[in-house]
Amino acid sequence: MMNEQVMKHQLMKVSTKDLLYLTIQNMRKRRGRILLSIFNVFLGVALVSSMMILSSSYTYKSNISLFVVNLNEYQLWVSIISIAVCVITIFNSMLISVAERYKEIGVMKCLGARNILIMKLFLFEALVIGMIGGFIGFTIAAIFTLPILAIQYETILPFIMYLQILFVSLLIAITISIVASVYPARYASKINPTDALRYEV
Amino acid sequence: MSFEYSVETLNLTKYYQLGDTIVKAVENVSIQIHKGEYLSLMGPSGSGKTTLFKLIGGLDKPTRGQVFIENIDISKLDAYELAWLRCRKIGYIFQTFNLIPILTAIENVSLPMIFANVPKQERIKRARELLEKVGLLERVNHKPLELSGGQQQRVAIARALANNPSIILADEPTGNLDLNTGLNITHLLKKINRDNNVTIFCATHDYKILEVSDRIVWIRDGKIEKVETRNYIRKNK
Repeated sequence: MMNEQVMKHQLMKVSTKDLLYLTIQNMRKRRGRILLSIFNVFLGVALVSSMMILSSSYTYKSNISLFVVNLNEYQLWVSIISIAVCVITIFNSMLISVAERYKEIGVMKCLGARNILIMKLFLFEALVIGMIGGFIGFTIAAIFTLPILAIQYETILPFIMYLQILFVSLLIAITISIVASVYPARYASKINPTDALRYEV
Repeated sequence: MSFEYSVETLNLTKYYQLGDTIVKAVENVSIQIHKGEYLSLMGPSGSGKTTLFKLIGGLDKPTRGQVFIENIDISKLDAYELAWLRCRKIGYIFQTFNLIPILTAIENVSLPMIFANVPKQERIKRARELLEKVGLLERVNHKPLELSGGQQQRVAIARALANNPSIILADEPTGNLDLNTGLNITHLLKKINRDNNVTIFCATHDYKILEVSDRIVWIRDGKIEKVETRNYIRKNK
């Protein structure tokens, strides 16, 4: 009996491709809330990365340092607050998402989905939201700071600095959305299928 | 692997704590279900049918007693093995269909196959075959809300069959359907029972199902009242 089960353990693993497929499909069909989350990340990241661009253009111009993204105290505080607001909003939206899909998760568990799969579904969603939001946020920030750079600092940042800021922005965006989704994802994965099936929306 | 019974329960007992009182939902129920049998669990509402359904399906833990599915004691399984069992061995059919509203019929049917890690091509092929079997081939790309109750239940039946389970557990499969549709679903279940040699365990209070079941277990207040075979019922009609 056990031998056979051990053999089947390997068969129960859902491939990353299928996981991505499930996530993307869910995101496509629940476009509204997902767009809102992306917009949320994008706003936060746009603010932070535009400040990074401005501050690094200042350091770039004054002492030609290429690898420092340093914010002054004021900018740092604004960034921290905007990131915190971002985390809370995504946390909230993820919790709503779990509530919305409560029954669906119960059904999936009945059909043989493992807890870890449910958790991965939500974290993957967060990852995609973070990546898209971060990228859009950085792009918008880069475009909108161009005239400011040109007029106020009379300079254009080298490509390598943009790359550096893009990397940091993406890192921030992904961290924001993953951190905000850990609790909702865990909560979703622990849903008891019997309770979920009784639940009426 | 050989086994005597498809499903066997041994002194299965489930108590609920409801405030100060203890509700005895299921008490000392021992049933043996053979491979390929169509067994109906009859009883008025509140008699413990759904509780028994959940216990056998591994969705709930019994207070006492054991459930064996193909000689595997499901209380000894960890979460991983239980998920495997639900995925590969058991197909669930519910009164409220419980399809996933945002997925189309074919996606709903292929969902359990994603959990079982079936490759995409094979998954779609099999889902189409199953939908054809339940007579919904022209509706593969419709979402549950665009389907009637009977059609939704057909999708649910196709989904239950996705990973070739050996047991199908149905909880009031005709409960939300009108007379004719209910009859169709009943006959479809019988057809599947015969064609695929699947054991069907059906909790119901619908008398239409009596006609197709091999054996009927009557349950009252969580205890087995009587067990009748189909021949016995036919004789006494």
